[in-house]
Amino acid sequence: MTTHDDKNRISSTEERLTELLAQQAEALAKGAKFEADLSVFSPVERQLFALAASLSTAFPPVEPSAEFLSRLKRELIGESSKIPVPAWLMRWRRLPSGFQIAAGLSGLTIAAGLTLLGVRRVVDLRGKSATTADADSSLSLNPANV
Amino acid sequence: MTVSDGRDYAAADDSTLVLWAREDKTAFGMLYERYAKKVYNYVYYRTGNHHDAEDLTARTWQRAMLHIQNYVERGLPFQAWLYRIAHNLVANWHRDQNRRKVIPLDDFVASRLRAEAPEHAAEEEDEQRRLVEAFQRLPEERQQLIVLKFVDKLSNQEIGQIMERTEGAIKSLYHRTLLALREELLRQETSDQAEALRRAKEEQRR
Repeated sequence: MTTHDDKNRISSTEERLTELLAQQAEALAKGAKFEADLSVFSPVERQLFALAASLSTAFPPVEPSAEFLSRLKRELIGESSKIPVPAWLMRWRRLPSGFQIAAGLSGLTIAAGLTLLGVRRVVDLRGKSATTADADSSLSLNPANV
Repeated sequence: MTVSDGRDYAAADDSTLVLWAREDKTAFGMLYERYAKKVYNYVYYRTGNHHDAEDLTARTWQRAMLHIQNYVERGLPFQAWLYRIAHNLVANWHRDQNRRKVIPLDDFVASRLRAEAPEHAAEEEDEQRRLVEAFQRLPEERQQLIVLKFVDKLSNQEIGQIMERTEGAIKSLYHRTLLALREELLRQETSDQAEALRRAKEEQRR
């Protein structure tokens, strides 16, 4: 059975551990040295300090592309920002170049296809109207056309 | 040039820059210079890929620019306000996409380790991969804490402002996060051992 004193001791050890882990994390973030007497803690508790040290190296800083940073700054505060850029255009600009090329080619193909269809339709309509005009003139009652 | 119209942008603190930024784009540009990379790193480790990191970073700044007129400091520094915007966008992104975070380890950790210590690279790479995988299985709030602490290197006080908690609450959340991470690593190790055993038995049968 756990006595009141035992509970107090456990609680104070836990608090001490929480505090020391926080101190270690701050030191790791600053690249400073962390020194503390960990002998009062169990091996499992001591493992947490090693785990924190591993964590601090597991996520190295990543560098966004300079092109992205300067483009975004231009969009936000540059001259061009006086004219609001539509959201779809901004998203398009951020697409990888491969996607942009593929989408551009698809767009061109669709546009060319639609143009061809349109031209064909116009040619067909003109042909039909010419045929109708010929047929009409042959049906005329005007003796000059007979 | 960081001085113009008698304003020393580089020396000004965030609160001053925020006041100026309401009608001065150069001041907003200085805030951008200070925090763009930090926000990007935060979003990158929360989404796991550069494409979404760029998209969400851009949206964070667009939103900040749009609302800077209404932003009043009142105990919430600009940095914390900015991270909250980024956090909300990341949370929406996860909700909309319903994706698990997949961090392309090979892109950075592995290559960095190979370059720094080629003789121990494979072993360390494996260890860090396990660690990041365990991190990815943690609840969102705990992942956020680890990223703010170890990627953006913020203090407990700053993290508290972002996560709307006291410094003491952040300390105990960090303690609980380490315990949970340790549990995850043990679980992973046990499952790896069981898998190795199963494979060995299969090999024997053949």
